[in-house]
Amino acid sequence: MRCLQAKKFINEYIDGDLDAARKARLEDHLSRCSDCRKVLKDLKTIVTDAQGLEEPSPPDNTWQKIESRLESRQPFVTFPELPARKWYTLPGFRYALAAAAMVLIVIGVLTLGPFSPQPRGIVPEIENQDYTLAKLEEAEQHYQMAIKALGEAVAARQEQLDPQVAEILRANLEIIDKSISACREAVLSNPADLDSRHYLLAAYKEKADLLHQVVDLNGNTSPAGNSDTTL
Amino acid sequence: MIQWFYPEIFADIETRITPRSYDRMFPDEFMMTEKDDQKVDLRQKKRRDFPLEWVKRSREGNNQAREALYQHFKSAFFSLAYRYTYNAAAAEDLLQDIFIKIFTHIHVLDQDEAFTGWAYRIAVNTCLSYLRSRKTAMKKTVPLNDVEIFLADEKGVDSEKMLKKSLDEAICSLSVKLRSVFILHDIQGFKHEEIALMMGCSIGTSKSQLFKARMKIRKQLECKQLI
Repeated sequence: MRCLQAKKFINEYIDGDLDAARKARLEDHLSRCSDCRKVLKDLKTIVTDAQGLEEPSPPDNTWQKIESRLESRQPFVTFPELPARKWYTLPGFRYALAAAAMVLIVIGVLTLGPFSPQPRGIVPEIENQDYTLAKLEEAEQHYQMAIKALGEAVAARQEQLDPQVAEILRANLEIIDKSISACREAVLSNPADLDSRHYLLAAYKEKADLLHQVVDLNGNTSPAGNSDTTL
Repeated sequence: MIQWFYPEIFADIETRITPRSYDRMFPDEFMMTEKDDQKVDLRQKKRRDFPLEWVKRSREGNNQAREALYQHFKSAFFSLAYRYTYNAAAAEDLLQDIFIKIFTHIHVLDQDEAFTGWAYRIAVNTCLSYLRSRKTAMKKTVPLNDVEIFLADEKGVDSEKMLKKSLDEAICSLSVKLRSVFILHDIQGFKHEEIALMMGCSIGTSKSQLFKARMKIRKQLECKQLI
């Protein structure tokens, strides 16, 4: 142990703060170092004398001075106790509310916003389906109107048709009408089923095309007609 | 034979401690005795030994309780203020300020048991702010009136009294930080933990400053050939 370290240990030794191991090392050093023994003796004298220093007393009238100064001071304004704050006005609650709002906003943005693939798939699909159904119904109406018009045209020219052709036309129309009624039943049983609607429209189209062909045939051919028309 | 080549080692071996040599070289007079610690403890015990009722009643504005607290702490605080300023008039002013602060702020003290530490903290801070406001007081000088007192009393005083006066002079020459720790630890008897709380520093800082303070005082007393 060097003297500098020993002096620091002496300081703690005097105060009784030195642990046993260090105390033993210090005492070992002190037994060999007269300078450090002198330091210990001097510091001990200083500490002992400091403890024995007199505590001077203040003049006797000091309390009167303090008392008069205390009396001359304005009495403390005691504020009436404020009622306890409502829990929802506490800053903690406000922060919690703000945090909850933030969480909700983030969840909302993630689930409903542009970053959410799932909702994007569901919502437009439903919209698309409604749109398709509306368009299909519209197309159906158009076909019906066209069929009606063409039917009237064909009926007007029925007499001009070759009886054989008229028979084939009637048979074909009967088949198409059967498929139309079957498809309509299917559509009525399940209006949302797009396939059955497509089949219905296809049947209408077939009927319209057939009638159109008949009208064209009737218009293009002479009244004598051409019975080779294939339907 | 080998001793001739390494005389230092063998010199050291010769002086190693043996039970008999230990007593001779390290006599009991150098050891700290329990009595020394008891002195400090007694001072602290006396300081803390007062009815807590006084604190409660002082808070309620009872003048008798206030006076009782003043009487109990006046010497300690006056001594503290005096050893910060070494000027009796300034110490008295500081003592007044300390008690005014204590009694005007006692309502903020929640626990009556904490009064002593709290009051000391006020006392130390009041003294330190006084020294800060009067930088001249921080100069390492002893006020002339105090020096005169010392010189006047030198006639016919014994060496012990002389030593104590020189000790006061040495304390006065310390810087404010070192003086604070020395006054609080060695004169007032506080522990490093309490001083650290009062001064707003670490326990290690308090210990190292006490060491520096003691060594500086020793140097001064040594120069005067008093120790």
